[in-house]
Parts: sequence; C-alpha cells; structure tokens
Amino acid sequence: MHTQISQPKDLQEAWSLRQRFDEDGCYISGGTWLRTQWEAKAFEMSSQLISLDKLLETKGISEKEILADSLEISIGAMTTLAECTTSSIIQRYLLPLFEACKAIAAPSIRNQGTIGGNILTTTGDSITALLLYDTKLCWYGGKGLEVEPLEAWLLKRKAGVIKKERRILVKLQIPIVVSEVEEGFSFYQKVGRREAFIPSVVTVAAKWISVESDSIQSIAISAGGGSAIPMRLSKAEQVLEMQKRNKLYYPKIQKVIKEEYEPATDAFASGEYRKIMAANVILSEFHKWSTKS
Amino acid sequence: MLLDKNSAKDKWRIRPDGKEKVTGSLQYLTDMTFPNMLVGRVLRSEYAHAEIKSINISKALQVDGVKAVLTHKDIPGLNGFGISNPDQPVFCSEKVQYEGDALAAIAAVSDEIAERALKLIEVEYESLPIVDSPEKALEKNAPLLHPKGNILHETTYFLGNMEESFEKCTHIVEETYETPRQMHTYLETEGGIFVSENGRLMVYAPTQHGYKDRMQLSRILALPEESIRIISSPIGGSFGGKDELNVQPYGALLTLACGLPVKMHYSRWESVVAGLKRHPMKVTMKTGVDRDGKLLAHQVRILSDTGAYSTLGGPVLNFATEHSVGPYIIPNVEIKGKAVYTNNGVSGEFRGFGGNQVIFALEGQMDRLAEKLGINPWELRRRNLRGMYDRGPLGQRVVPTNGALEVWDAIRKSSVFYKNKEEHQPPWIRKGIGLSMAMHGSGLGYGIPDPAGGQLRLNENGKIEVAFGHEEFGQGLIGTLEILLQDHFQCEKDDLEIIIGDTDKVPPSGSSTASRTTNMVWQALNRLKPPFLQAIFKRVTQMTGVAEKNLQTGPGGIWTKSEKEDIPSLLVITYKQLAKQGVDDLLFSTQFHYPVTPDPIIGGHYLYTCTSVAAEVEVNLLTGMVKVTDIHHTVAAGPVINPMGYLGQIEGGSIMALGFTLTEDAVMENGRYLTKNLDTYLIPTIMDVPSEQTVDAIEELPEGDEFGPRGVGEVGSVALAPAIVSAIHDATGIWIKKLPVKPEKLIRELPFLQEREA
Repeated sequence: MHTQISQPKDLQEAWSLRQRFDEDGCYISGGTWLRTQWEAKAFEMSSQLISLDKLLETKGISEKEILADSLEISIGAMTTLAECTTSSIIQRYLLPLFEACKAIAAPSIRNQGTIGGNILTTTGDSITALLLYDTKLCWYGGKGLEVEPLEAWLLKRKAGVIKKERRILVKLQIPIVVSEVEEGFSFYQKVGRREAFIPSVVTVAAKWISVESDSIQSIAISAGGGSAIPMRLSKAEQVLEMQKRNKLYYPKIQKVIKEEYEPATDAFASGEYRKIMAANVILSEFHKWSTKS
Repeated sequence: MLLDKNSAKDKWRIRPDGKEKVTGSLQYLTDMTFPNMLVGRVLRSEYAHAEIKSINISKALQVDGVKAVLTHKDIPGLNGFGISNPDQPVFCSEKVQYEGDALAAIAAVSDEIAERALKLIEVEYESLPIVDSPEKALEKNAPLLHPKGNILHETTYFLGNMEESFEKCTHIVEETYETPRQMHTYLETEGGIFVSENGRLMVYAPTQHGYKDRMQLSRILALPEESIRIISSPIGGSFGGKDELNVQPYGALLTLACGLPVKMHYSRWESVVAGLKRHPMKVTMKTGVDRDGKLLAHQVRILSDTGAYSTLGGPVLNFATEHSVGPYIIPNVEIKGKAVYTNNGVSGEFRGFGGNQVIFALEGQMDRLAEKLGINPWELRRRNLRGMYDRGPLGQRVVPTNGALEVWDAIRKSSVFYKNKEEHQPPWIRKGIGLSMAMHGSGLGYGIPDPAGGQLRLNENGKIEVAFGHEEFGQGLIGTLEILLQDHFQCEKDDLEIIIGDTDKVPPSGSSTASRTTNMVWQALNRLKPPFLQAIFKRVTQMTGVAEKNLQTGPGGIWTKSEKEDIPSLLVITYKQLAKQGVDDLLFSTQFHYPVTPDPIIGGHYLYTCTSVAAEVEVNLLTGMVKVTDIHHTVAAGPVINPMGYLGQIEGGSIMALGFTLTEDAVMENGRYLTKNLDTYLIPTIMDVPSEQTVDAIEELPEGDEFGPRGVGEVGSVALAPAIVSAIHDATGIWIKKLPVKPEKLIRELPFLQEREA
C-alpha cells in the first residue's frame, strides 16, 4: 500500500518508468496541486510517484537571440513559481506571466509548485498569461523533443482528445519581439473571492502595441478562471484590432467578450457574473489606457 | 481610552504564551505522543439521512495492526452526548441523520492501517429523504428526525399590541435577513490523547469546560467522574466550537478497549464534516416608526437551522430572541423563534451565540427605517436608545448601564469620519461609511446553572498559586490572571503559579464561555484575597512580631508598609521561608454563581456590554468585491484589565465578523458540505484585514456598580456585519440582506461608462 517514489536521473529513465508502472505511475513535480486532489479524493495517490526533481533538462530560465529584434525565452518546466517571480528575464519580457506567478497561491506553495505543474492542471493562472504569446510546449515522449503550441494542446485537452498526459513537459519556448515589449502595453488581472491565497474566479490578460495614430495593433487577449480552461478571446481581438484609442466603443466589445468567454458556474460564482466581470476588467484596462494623457 | 501601547503603559504585556505560539515551539496536546500509542479513527456516514440495516466489522477486525473496532454495542453507558440535551449518538445504531454521524471507531497501530480498516467496515443503508432546510423540516409531511418532532425549541415574547401599533406607524420596514453557516476554523482541529492507567482514564483533549466533559464522559463510559481526569490546555483555538464533546467519546472508548494510549486528531476535512458551525438563521423583521422616528412596533420571526442534533441549539435561540430587540426601547414587540432539526451539519455554540445573526437584521431595520424617514440613521437610533435604568430587552431587570448612550456618542468622534473623501480613485471604486451598535449579554442567563469558583493558596514552593477551572484557548486568560494577581499582591511574575486546565488540580469554575471568564476570575480573587492575606499576615506576625497592620505583600515576600516616603519598606520574610513553615492553612477557595436577573425569564441576561462600530469600505464595481479599509470599535465593558488582551479580543472578533460578512460560509447541498477545506471555505487573510483598526474602551461604570470588568470575548464580533452592509449601501445604494455578501449583487456592467454619462 505504501507509495514508492523514484527519482530518475534523465528524461529517458523517467519515461521508461512511466511506461513500466503504467496506470500505477504518476509524475510529480512540486506536488502542491496533486496533494489537494488526493485530499479531495478526486483521485487516489498513485502507488508509484516519479519525481522529476533530478531532470536537469527541465530547469532554468534563459534567453536566446534569434534575430536582431527577437528573442526566444526558454523556461524549464520544473522552474518553481517563486523562481519565476524573481527572474529578471520574465519580469522584463513577460510581465503578465511575472504578475501571474506572484499571485498564485501563497509563498510556501510558490516555493514548491512549478510552472510546468501549473500548466498541466490546465486551469492554472500562468496559462492565461502564456496564451498571450506563441508559447510552445516541449514534450518528451520517448523519442526526442516534440514541440506543440500551448493553445493547440489546451484545445485538445478541452475537447477531451487527451485525457491523461503521459509525456514529460520539459520546457516552454516563448518567442518575443523586443521592441513590441518595450513599446507595447500589457496587463494581467486576477480576481478571487478574497485578496490573497485564493483560486481565481476570473483571470484576464492582454498585450498590444500602438505605434501609428494611436490605434491598437497585434492585440492578444486571454481569459480563464475557476474551472475554465483558459482561452484566447480571438473575436474580441478582431473587434479591437486597429481600433483608435480615443474611439473605443465599449458596449460592442463587451458583448463580444461576453459571448466568447466560456466560464463555468459553481456554488460560489455564476458564469454570467464571470462574463460581466471579465468584460469589465478587460475594458477598464483599455479605459485607463485610452484616458491616460 | 484608545487602546494601544501608549495608553496601556506598563499594562502593555506581551502574552506569556505568545512567543511559544508564534515560533511554533509550544507543544499542544495533539502534539504529544506516548509509547505504544495507537491511532484512533471514526467511520462517518455515507448518507445525510438513512436507516442502518446492518454494520459488519468482521473484515476490519482481521486487518493486521487493528487493535479494536467499536460500534454502538460497545458503549457501556449512555449512547449520547450534548451539553444541554444528550441526543447526539456516540455511534449510530438505527439511523444516520447527517454526513458527520459516527458509526464505528477503530484503533490501529498506524493511520494507514486504520484508514484501510475503515474501508472494510460494511454498512448497509437504506436512504431516506433528506431534509436540507428548516422550511422543509417544518412541512406537514416532512420526515420525522427526532421522536418529539422536528422542532428542537421555540421561543415567544410579547409586549403590547402588535396589530394596533402597526396601524399607528408612519413607516414600516419588513425584510428577511439570512446569515451563513460560519465555521470556527481553529488552527488546531479537534483532537486529543487518551490514556488508561492505574484504573483511571486520562483525557488530554482541548475543551472549554473540563468538568462538563468529565460528566459527559462518565455518562457514556458508566464510570465514576472521579476516575476520569481531563487535561485540557493549551488549546489551539475554540471560539465556542470545543465546548461540546468531539473526539473524546471515541478516544476514551478505544483506549479502554485496548489498554493502550490512543491519539485522535481530525483532519481539516473531518473537522468540517463533524464539527459544529454557527447556526444559519433566517430572521424576518417587521418594524414600524411614527413620524418622529419613535419605534412603535417590532415583529420578529427567527428560523434557526440547528442541524441534526441539539447541543446548544435551544440556548442559542434564546439568546437570539433576547438580542433581537437590542438597545432600543420599543413599546410593542412580538418575537417568535424556532430552532429546527435538519439533516445538515450540527450547529452549536459560536462566539456571539445567536446575537450576530439578529443584530445584523435589527441594525439593517434601523438603517432602512431612517432612509424612509429621511433622517440620519444614527439619529434614529438615539431617539430610541435605552437609558441607564431601563429594563432589559425581555423586560427583565438588568444591572444599570449607560453603555448604549456612551458608545452611541463615542463613535461620532471616530477618525473614520474625518478622512479626506476626495482622494483620487478610479471611477469604479465607491467608498462608503457605515455605523452600527449592539448590546450583548454575558453569562448564561436566568435559569441556567452558571457556577463559578476558584482557589488561592501559598504553595509548597513559596508561590502564590491560583487555580481555576477555566481554560486558555487563545483568549488571553493567563495574561489577564497574571496582571490581576500582580495588581492584588504587588509581586513579581516569578512569585506566581497559575493552574488551569486539569480537573485533578482545579476547582469547578463553570465553562469558559459567554464572555464570563474575566468577570468570574475578577470576582473570585476579590473574594479570596482578604482571607488569604489575613491568614498570611497572621502567620508572619506570629513568626516575626511585626504587627499585621504593618504588613503587605510585595516582590518575593512580605514587606513592611512604609508610611513615610523616606523610610523604605523592608522585606520581612520571603514567600519561600513562609512556605517552609507549612502551607495547609493558607489555602482558600470560593464558590459562587454568575450574577442573574431576579426576573424569571429563561436565558434573560443581567450584565450587558455595549458596542458601536464604524466601518469604511471600498466597493469595486468592476468585480463587486468589497474591501473593508477601516474599522473603529467602541466598547463599554467596564475597566480594562489586560489592554493587549482586550485589544486582541476585539480585533480578533472583528476579523472573524469580517469573514462572516464577506467570505465565510460552509455551503451545504443535499445535506453535504461543498466547502470541505480552506481553499473554498474562506477566512480572511492579513491582506483582507484593514490596515487600520482602532478600539476605544469606555471603562466608566455607573456609580455603585460592583460587578467589575465585563468580558469582551464576543462583543467584538457582533456588530461589524451591519456596519459593513450599511457602508456598502452608502457606497452603492444597494441593500444587502444575505450574508456573506455576494459580489454578484454589487457588480455593475461597464461602470466607468455610467460614470462618464453621469
């Protein structure tokens, strides 16, 4: 009955163990989310836990120049949320992600919980921030690294195509256009039922640039919260793209956000409330931006 | 007096147990271990309501490492517990009435083995319809939950003539208010260690009343009370929740069955399911005023969800009934209350004891009436406020108090009113200020045994030793006792020994509940001090020849009294030297009863404290979230003994009330808790607490008052909710009538556009 914990030294060994243990096995990184699931009896603690702690490939944050104005930022899946909140790379280039990690759970949990684990829950707050970028997930499935866009993976999870992920999430790759970061705008907002240490009711984020004549360009908006799998709000993006800063017509955008965003209803907050709030919070940020002198 | 470090001066004492608690080094009872200690676990019901067809423990008994599996058949005495009515079965035999009901208990060598064995107990149920609300329980064809019916207790109170008086009213407000199933959320969940040795049962388990636990256990175990010893402090929080038995019957039965020590400690999940909660109440009030704003008529209906069993559901309803009139003079009153059994979790004692719920309703009525009258709501209260010699809320005689007027007046000077309201804020932030007030009875009330007592002696080690049957569960009793004793005897802390929490060592003092403890220890010491000093001084005179009238107690021993400033006091004899001559004749004890009104109104209170609260809120219209930014309390409870303890009680009670108002609710659906852990049951974090919170203590008592300091354990928690709700109305124009406040009620679509258009 006792649970065994193995600590494989490389990806291949971890993968083999997972294959060998089959249904009895489970990867574990920080374990902070798994613990809540075991306690809630959502599922039983597996008899074979495979710790990813020793896998060097899954650690560290780095930046790599691709072209003159572009970078690729790589974040190891085993990077703790606390490490994300102290990383100058993340703070400089991925501000929404930086804000997201700061507001996940509490310090002790951020010290243990990892960004990979947060993504694998499919509802983690980091996802809403990462969806603003062309974030790619690098998986190990026995043969080299497979690269898959985060959004595509989420859509598969949402559709139930993948029920249980057997691959190991090794790292995230995030392409960045430096000038867009330096001259652009972004926000990340999470609202929970209290001020801190709280699951999200609604999480929204956006980024855009505004180079010519104060119009909105290259906009990305995402929303999550509660048990909803975070998503890009593409229709709202289409409505906002190329809109003039001083001529934003909020009721129309609000309507699109409310139609597009798909939050869940639970005992604590209705879906309708979450829709209103998501639209409110997103549009209040544009309102602040558009009224700023 | 604004309570803080500066005003308290040398009375600003860091609590004696503070450092150990903050650093985590304090060993709570549930941290203890004994050799060969077993783990005890309880099998809980799978249904909220079902008949039990059979219970088969044979497979569980065969598990290696299982030492005992017990069911209702193994109870030698009464299969029931409950402070006022023992109708909660230790183990269910015929039916289960809520999801926390116990069917069996296991003692095993490890938690894993106990857990595995629990799963092997086979229980056959036949499910019954679930009664998940008091309304359903009162329906004609509702399933019968208890032999005498689904109503645990009813209250009625009449004064004057309802119908005629409503006809005379200029304005009438009728509203139904609802309050949540609040959880005590002590840091230390219920637990304890049980040891059977030399024919005695040792119970190391937190409680607010060791002697009551001893009585209840003796009834279950069919053992003489003297054979049971209850060791009950330190306690990691209680707030009323550990006054009733919890793990004790199971731990005791298991250790007696196995002959080995047994530890029980509920997980948070089990604590949620099996533990007590605050009674959810629906309070309907119809209140009328004349055109001058004089209250003429007040009709109250209280419907209280007491859950599956009694515990203190009856007394809580009595308290709610009495407090639904508050500090106001109303000539025509009609109150009808019902505490109703359901298949929900058991409701019981909780800080405020039924007052919090009705005060929220009553103060809401006052604000709404003022709005109808078009007058300031605080002015409306003044026009109806009780005077010093008015009778109590149920017409009973009470100890004269001017507290209501004093707190009414004092809050008007609060800094909350003098803030710059013009601060730059985004257009979706609305600020508001709200006020409320309450009076709160202390002690158990007329007709309920409410004994007190204590013991004072010089012990063998030369310490001035006091012993009380009260408990320290974080409220600061030990610190308060230390200050009281040093005030009485002018001695050092080292000269004192304080004994609590052990039925073998302390006299019965009644429960540490109902804001009664500070007052009871104060009264006990006043009674014990004169004979104690007289005996000591007599002894010293015999030994030294110094006249009794020239002696006084002081640091380390007995000193001469110095009549002139330039003549120093001299140490005559140390306490230790004195103790060497024998201490048998230096022990004094006292027994007395908590002061009670002479009028035979069951549960009616005699001693009252008053409070008023000002709260400032910010409502974010984008999200509907409410942030409380400032709270100011005034409390009229007599002299402050322990300023830091007093402040801690008011601030702590206030934060608990903040949770009650904004986030806390143990949500049940079909008789099952949805909020099984602290990620969905939300208590305030430090980020939710206003950075400013002030407490103004009004210490003056009417001339001739001989009752001394009133306790403040509850009064900080009773009046904040209506102040916050009033502030929300001030900010948004929206009246909230159901707690906790649902942000969905306050959110507005695109509020910055409305602002622009406005």
